[in-house]
Amino acid sequence: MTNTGCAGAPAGIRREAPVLRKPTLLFAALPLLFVALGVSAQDGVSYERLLAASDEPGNWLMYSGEFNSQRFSRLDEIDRSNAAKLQLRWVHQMRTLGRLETTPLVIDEVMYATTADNVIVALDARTGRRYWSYAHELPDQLALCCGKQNRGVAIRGDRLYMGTVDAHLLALDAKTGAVIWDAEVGNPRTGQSITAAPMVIRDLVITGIGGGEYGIRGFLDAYDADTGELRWRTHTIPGPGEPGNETWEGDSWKTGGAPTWMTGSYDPDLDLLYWGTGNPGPDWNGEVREGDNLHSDSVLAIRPDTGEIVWTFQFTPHDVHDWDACQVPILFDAEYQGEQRKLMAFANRNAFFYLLDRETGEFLFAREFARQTWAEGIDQETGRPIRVPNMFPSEEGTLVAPTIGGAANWFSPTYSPDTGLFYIQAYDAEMLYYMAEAEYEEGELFVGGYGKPAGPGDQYVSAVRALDPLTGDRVWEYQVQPRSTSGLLATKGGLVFGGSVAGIFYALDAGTGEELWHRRLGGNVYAAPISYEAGGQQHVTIAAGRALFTFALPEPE
Amino acid sequence: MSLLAASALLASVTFWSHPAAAQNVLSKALQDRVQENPHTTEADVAAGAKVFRRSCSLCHGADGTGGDGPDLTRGVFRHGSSDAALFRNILTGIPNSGMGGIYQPDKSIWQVVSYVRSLSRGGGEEEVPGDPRRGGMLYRSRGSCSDCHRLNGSGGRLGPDLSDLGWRRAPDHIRASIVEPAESIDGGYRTVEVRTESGGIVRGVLRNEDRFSIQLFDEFENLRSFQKTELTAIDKPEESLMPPLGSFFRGRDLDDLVAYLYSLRPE
Repeated sequence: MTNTGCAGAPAGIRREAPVLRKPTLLFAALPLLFVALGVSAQDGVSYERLLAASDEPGNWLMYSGEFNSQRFSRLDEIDRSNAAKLQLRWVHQMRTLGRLETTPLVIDEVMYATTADNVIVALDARTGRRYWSYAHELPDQLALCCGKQNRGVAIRGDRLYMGTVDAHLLALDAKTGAVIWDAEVGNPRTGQSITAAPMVIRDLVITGIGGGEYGIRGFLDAYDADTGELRWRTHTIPGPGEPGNETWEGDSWKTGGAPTWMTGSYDPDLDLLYWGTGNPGPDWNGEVREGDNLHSDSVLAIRPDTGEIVWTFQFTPHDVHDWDACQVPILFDAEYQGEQRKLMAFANRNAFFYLLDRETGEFLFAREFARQTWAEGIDQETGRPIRVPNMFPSEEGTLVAPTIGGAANWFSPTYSPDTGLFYIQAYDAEMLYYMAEAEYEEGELFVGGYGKPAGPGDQYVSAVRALDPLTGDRVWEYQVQPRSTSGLLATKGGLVFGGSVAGIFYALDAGTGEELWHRRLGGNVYAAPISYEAGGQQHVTIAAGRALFTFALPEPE
Repeated sequence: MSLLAASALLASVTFWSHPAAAQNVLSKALQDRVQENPHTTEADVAAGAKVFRRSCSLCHGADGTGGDGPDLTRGVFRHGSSDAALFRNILTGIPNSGMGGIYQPDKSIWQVVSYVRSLSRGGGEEEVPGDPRRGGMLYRSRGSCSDCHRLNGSGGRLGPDLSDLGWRRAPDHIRASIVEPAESIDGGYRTVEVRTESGGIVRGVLRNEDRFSIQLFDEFENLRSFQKTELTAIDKPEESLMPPLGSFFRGRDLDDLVAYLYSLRPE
């Protein structure tokens, strides 16, 4: 819009040279000073900025920090020597009853965080004060296995993208929270939902879908970031005639689950997107879906422009324990057995840590990182588990480790290129697994059984474990009582941050696991910490209970 | 989850310890999914008008033609025009809007529904003089309105989004806002000007302020925050960032512009 033909038009509506109506006001005489003020232009986040996220450690530009999902902050103001001095800087209470699993984004001192019921708040990252909020209207009735959840947004340009528990994908104006487009990804009445943060690749917004407990057929979608138009959909379960469909008995592929409910990772050099898939359905009754059930419990390598599957690796063939491969794959490069390799570290819910070549999908090794009783081990040639007999769910109950929740789950691991260690929140518990009839009915749970705790949850070890990702060796562990389901953050300052269900937030020495600092936040920590810079200082934010807590070192005198 | 939510709701009504509120949150009409208004006599309309004036007029105007809140005299409502939808929205509010619930007994809520219905008995849509097509041209050219206002995703963001203005505002209100915008500034659009220690000036729309800091949306459309220790002055003039256009748009031009703005409805 130009102002041509505007002679005599009122002043004050051209943004280039703003003048107030009454020049008697404070400073109408000083318009030039606007230029001199050094406003950090909030021009939005170009795709180039996302690609080069490691060049701006003061911001947290995407769910896992960078495309490699290392969740490694390159800020080092807070380090081993001063972490004990961390102070609470601000708290922001969210207006929600749901649990917070959000990973906030921070762009140029503006923080974007979400609640379980799809509220987004834009906050000043220095004070936690609110600029705007948006609440997505949800239907009264939703088919959700595990309550409402949301884990965060993605950004591109000046738009935010959020998936909703009623299976929509929204584009919103990052400056105001206004909805720009609203795409229906799935049908919430059939159990489809979105809980993960989307991922932006070039001009595409990639989102997965949840609903593995409702007999959906999982898929991964790419939407045009500008228009919201669906560009491709790749099903995780091959249809008739496609390779892998024969790994499903009869029509069981139609209701086989394999959802995509957690955010993946991306390698821009290989141009491959990596995304984990969830359990086959019904969860605990495998008798109605004999076969390996491809590509459930797998990681898929996908060409982002087309959705073409380039390679796949299945961690748990014919899973009957609900061990989704919903963990975030960590991408890193290292010399492995004398050769520089592009690698993927994956600590699976089934209690094994896997190292894969992410270029080819070649399985390199797998090793137990938490207690398990279901496999003799993993065949180090093929990557297939060697199962212990009689560990399937039964009518009378079968005791198996790990639990349904798994040895690991969606909560993010982290990797420090400085220590070369991989950090995972691990759980050594076991559970009684029961099998039951499974009849598919649209929108109803389709699980074929259930699990029962074998004893009090705190009798098992829950711990942050540091692993050498090239061997699977355990370097140290930090036990958490009673347990933890929080994500982790490693930093250039040589720290690992994490939380626990007891509401404790802690900083560990990344090299030794020594606890350097902790605070009681009075609310369960389920989320993952992030770090960013504001006002020239490093900050660390964690969601706990119904609030966001932000810490920093004392302000310099 | 639902148990948790229910108990938390109970806890909150206990906190306010208002017996009527307790009945409300556990509204029988909501529970039974009542679809049709059972309280529609003239006496109900009169009773509803009383509640409306007390609880609703601050935003919707004493006569329901709108203020900060939308005009309610059209007979069509964005968030549902059925009795059940009106009942629910009046009872518990509308998420992501300024509309909070009024949490009163079911009968009062139904009476407000009856009153709101009575407002649109005249047919709803108001006859507006003026040519909306020509008004649109004025909006886009001479008015430079889109420098600051957004319409269906394009335009500035400093002023209110006008995409659905025709739903929210009566023509008189639109006219008054063009002629003298400072008379009725939307709550979220207060003007603020701050001067920094270095003498720089930032002007925009106030978002938040406390003892120690202030947040605003500046006129270059940046979200900004300042510690008050960094500022030498904060001014909140009772002016709109929008200049008064009464001398700029008169007679037919003003009619046309109002007609255009009144014609703006969500797609």
